[in-house]
Amino acid sequence: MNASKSSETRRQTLNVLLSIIIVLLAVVIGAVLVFSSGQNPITAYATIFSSTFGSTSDFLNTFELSAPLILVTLGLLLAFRTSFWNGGGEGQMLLGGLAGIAVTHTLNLGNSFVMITAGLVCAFLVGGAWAALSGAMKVWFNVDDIVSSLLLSVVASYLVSYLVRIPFRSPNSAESAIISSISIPNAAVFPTLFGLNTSIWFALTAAVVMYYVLSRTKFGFMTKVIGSNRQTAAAYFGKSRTNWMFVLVTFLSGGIIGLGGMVNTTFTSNIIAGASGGAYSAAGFTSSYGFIGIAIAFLAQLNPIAVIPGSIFFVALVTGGLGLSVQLQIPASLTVTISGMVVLVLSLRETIVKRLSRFGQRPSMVEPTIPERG
Amino acid sequence: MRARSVSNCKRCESVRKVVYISDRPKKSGFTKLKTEGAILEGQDLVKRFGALVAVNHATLAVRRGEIDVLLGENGAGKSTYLKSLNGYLKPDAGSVYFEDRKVNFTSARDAIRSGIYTVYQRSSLINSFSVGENLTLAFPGKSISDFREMLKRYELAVDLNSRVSLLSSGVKQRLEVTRALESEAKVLLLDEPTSVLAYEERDEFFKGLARSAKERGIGILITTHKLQDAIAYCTRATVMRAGRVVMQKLVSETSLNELTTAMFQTASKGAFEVTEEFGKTRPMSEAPRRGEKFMDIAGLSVAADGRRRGVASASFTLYRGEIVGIIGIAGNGQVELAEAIYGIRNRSSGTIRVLSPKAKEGSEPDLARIGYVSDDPVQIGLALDLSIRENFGISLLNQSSKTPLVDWKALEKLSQEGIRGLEIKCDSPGVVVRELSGGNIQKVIVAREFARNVDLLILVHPGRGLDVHTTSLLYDRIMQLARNGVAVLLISEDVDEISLLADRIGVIFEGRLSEVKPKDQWSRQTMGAMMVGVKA
Repeated sequence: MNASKSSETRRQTLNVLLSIIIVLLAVVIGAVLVFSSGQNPITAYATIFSSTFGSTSDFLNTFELSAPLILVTLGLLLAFRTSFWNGGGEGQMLLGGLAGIAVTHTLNLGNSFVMITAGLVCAFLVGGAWAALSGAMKVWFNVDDIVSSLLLSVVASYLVSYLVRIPFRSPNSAESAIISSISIPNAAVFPTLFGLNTSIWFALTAAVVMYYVLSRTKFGFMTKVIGSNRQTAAAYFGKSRTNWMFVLVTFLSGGIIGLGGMVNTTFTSNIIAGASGGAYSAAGFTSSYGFIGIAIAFLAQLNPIAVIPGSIFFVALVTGGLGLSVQLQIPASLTVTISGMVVLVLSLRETIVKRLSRFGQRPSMVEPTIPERG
Repeated sequence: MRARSVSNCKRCESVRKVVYISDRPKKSGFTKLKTEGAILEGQDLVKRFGALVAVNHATLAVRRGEIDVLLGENGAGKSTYLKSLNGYLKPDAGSVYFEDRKVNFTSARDAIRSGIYTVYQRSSLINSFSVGENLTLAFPGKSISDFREMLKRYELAVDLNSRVSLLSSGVKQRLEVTRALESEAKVLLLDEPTSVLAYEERDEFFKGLARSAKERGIGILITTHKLQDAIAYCTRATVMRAGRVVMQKLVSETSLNELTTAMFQTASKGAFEVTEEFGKTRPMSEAPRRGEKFMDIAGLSVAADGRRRGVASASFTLYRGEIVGIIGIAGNGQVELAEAIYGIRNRSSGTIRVLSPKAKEGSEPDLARIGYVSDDPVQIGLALDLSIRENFGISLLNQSSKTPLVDWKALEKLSQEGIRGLEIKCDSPGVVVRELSGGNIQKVIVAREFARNVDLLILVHPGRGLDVHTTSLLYDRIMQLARNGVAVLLISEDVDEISLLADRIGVIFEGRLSEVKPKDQWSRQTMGAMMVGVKA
């Protein structure tokens, strides 16, 4: 018993160390890219660090800003755990954000609590419904979920672009070159509580609740079984129950990502219509959180609590990266590049762990090590 | 950091080991192969996994033109030995000699290039490809008609267009063996070939092997824990126990008793002794008594899907406290029948009625009240990436906790009991199932389904991959459950198993189920004849 417990903690320590090593590796690769563009990578990273963690107020600001990313990552985490390969976080987040703006603007009440709740509920429903489309198509029509969610994300971004340009266009941007939506009403902006924006309290609570649900409840356990072997789940939970649960998870996943979109409006206040009709750049409303979240979810080993430090780190890169592009003319897409590198290095993780923990045993050639999707 | 220091220490240890070995006085001359007639030989092999010494200074040879057998219970180190011979694993110490020279295979593919082929329990064919496509991959130059001839030569009645995923495990294995033999193999290593072969297929399979061995001088080594096969078909037997070779003898000079003793140390064969006299042995003093009717199956048909066989109008009744055995050669529709009764395969016609006082008259079966051990637990039954504890949760979730929360303590206890009951070899219930050996993975699903409170237990090949000792524990539990009033449906390919356990027996051939009759109305001959489609 004791021996196995200590080997379990050793494995966990190893995992945390590996996550850090992976991030460092990605940061080093980022440094090479910065260097190749003729800038000093150390200056670049120092600028990022000082602007995001340099003082207490900088840190608290970064901490607050990580609320949307935490929520988006939690939504993705739930999806991946159940083997729903949600590649459409961007679209779900955008729709959630727009739904929040549209509903609160239409309601236009003075009560902050009612406004925020209404915005969150609608963002949840819209984001969830969008993701559930992919889930239902996978379960009942055998459509690949990565492809459907990714493509639906493109549809969502054009849809939002239309809505931003026509029905929800800001009257102020009539003559401006940049077309943006109406702003979120002041009453729907998350207020400050105990010195921090309530949205971060909301995101932290969501992480704790998700941790509890996934590790303690039957529902959480069943999602894990479905994610690990859907045929087994169908055989013991019942086929239609498994199918419906899967669709429910896709709905919840999209819904939580939608919440991230709504929360994000507190910081961006409106949505800027993408150039050339629909494409949203890294600097746009979502800041590529739908993709960065993928890296964080796997870096966190699908643990909701570990999502919090991961999100703070990447938010620092994103916000610091924006400063970089102004000060040093380094493109802000450096952040997305680093998160992409993280995903790449992560894909080697299993192999690395296996090599280290099995001491000399070769990775199998005959038996596949990568679990099949399906 | 910690991991690094451990790995360093490990390396030191293996370096010390190597030095130790090379410090020994050199053997005279250049005769590296110690055994006469050997083609492949492992000398003094050691393989460790962490603290576990899976193979401990074991020496074993494969001889030209012979089928030799490596015996041992689950976890004795048989598979690890094979994998150390064929380059899949790198032995920590010792050396491998092949055709008079020392070899250092860096991978399984490396060994294949030298002509050493291995067929594992789990098939290495590409499941989503057809039979023909798999063969084309192995023999790019050959045509469809060549393949047809090839299959004919080995008496394999498979359609070249069949998808491999739809074939039975037995057929897949024979196909793999065929592929290896046709690839100019010099050595063929077979890991547990008999566990997936149907009883009636074995004779044909081994005779084919023996022919190839003789004619082409191929050395064949099989691992098994089915002693009858070892005695009937093999020339030499090596017995491993806890990683060591404990006996090496010509099969003709040994006996069933001696081999069993060597395998298990204790001379006990368990409560179950297979006798030649059919149908007489009932190991338990107290036989289960048939209780009330539980389920009526009438005219159950399953449409053939893809190339999987259908079932034509099967009818029988299951009673509480009674074991119904259905026997047939793999791929005759028994798996489809079991799946249809359990409710995970659609039936095209027929009715299944549950006659429980609690259930409404004629209602459909309730999954929660039926235990199910599938034909292939890796596909349906377990989740390999989850721990043993979590796998127990898959079907014991609601039994162990009435609230919406998971009762992890209760699951821990249930899995501890299961591990003890079937002697699953693992550190703790927290171990991921993927890391267990094949036999132990089978034990996990069986132990779990045994732990459930059910009305009906459907067991499809429950003893597959289990050693003699565990099989006797398994039989014990099946009888015990039946005595406690559970209706048991046992699907098996093993005549001995069926004759030992079942109260009533039906034979299935090409999707048609015979009348399910009491055991004393059957004989080995009539049963065998019906299994191969000869009308008795």
